[in-house]
Amino acid sequence: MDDCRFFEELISTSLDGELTETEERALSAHLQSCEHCRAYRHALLAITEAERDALPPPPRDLTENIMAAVRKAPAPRKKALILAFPRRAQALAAMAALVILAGWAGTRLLSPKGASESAAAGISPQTMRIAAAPAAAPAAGMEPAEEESADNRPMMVFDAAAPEAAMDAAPLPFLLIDADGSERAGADGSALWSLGEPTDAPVPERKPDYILRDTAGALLWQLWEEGDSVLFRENGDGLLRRAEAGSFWEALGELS
Amino acid sequence: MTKEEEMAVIARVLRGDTDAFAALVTENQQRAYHLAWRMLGNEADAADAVQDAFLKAYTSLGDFRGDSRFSVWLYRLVNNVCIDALRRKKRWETLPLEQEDEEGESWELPLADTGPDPQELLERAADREAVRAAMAALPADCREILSLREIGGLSYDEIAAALRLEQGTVKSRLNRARKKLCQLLTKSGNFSASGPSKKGKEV
Ligand SMILES: [Zn+2]
Repeated sequence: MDDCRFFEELISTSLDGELTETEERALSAHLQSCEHCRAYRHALLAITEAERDALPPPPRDLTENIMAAVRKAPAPRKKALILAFPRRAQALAAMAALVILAGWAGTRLLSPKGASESAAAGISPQTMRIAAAPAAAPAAGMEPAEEESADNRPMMVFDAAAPEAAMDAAPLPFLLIDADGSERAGADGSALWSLGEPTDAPVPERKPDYILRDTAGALLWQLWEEGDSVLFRENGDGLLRRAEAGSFWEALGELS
Repeated sequence: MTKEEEMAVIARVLRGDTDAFAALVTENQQRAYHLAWRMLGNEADAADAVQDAFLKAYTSLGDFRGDSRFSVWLYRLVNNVCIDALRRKKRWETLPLEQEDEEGESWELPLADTGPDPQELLERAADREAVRAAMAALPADCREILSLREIGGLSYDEIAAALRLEQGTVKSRLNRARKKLCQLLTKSGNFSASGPSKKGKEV
């Protein structure tokens, strides 16, 4: 006797048009000889059809209501991170503001490449204003280091040790997705903000080897493995950082 | 809307043209609403959830990189909003979402020894109501995956990414969901075309 359980799954998959050719041939051969599976397939087709019939029409004013809410909402920004993690928002906004202000001051000091990259990343003056607003009261330990920005190193305006101390200690659960789409979860990705060093290396042209998302599905970081190091950048701001691979993965903690 | 049109609309919204967002709403709201309705089981909650999800999509539109269809990204937001809503309603405890045991499901496909001939009764109007009730009785993870597939029209790849599942699990969970639905309908006796024939006893 054929294994009908196996074919039941194929029947389900066939409704979705996701069978391989081999599977399709095997299934149709089985269906010819198995009344049970024919009936099962028939039932699933009928259910699917009835399911579609059963769906209620959306309320008439749905579009209007959605758009009314949207018009009242703050404009979308590149730094959605601030929305996603409100408890971290102040520290992050302050940090972003410092980076941006330093970037402002240091624009002409940046290599042409660096400048075009931040343009490509879409950091508009409007974004800067939004991000800069909470910086009136910068978090402790995040005072800009004037000498450093004068020293042509705008990306290192805060003490590397300070962000950890200044930020809320709330963990940042994340998902690490590799190029095949398989995902692993980590408990806390907040170390990313203090890992490694900014680098002038070009952003790799190939697709990232990994992306790291917060658990709400927002894309936060793109990661490339390069020899013994990991290049990574936060989505939207285009600042590429480099960290030694071992310490990078260690800082991300155990993945499951 | 083609992918290019979609990205063009998104670019306009990001440049400050809020009203351009309406095109994304009209294009996707029906499916999003149906997804939410499936998850939440009533129309008022579904409308709220869809509104909430579109609002989230709007405020975080800058994060959308175009590596999936906008609809897929949106459905994921809808899904999350619905799960939050269910949690808030404290109905969560009764909804077995975290069943990892794809294979070890103990229920059997019911065998309708004297059921009506599916062929005859396929178009019965009561079927719709029966399906509605059976859907509501499904575990949340089954409803979720069926909805993404059948309402959202997501491919297995897209479902795997949205629900963070292996491809194999997508297949087996979809089948489990459908089988369960079939079982619930047979049990209810109100659905004309459910249940395999008696020949299936050996299964
Ligand atoms: Zn069979």
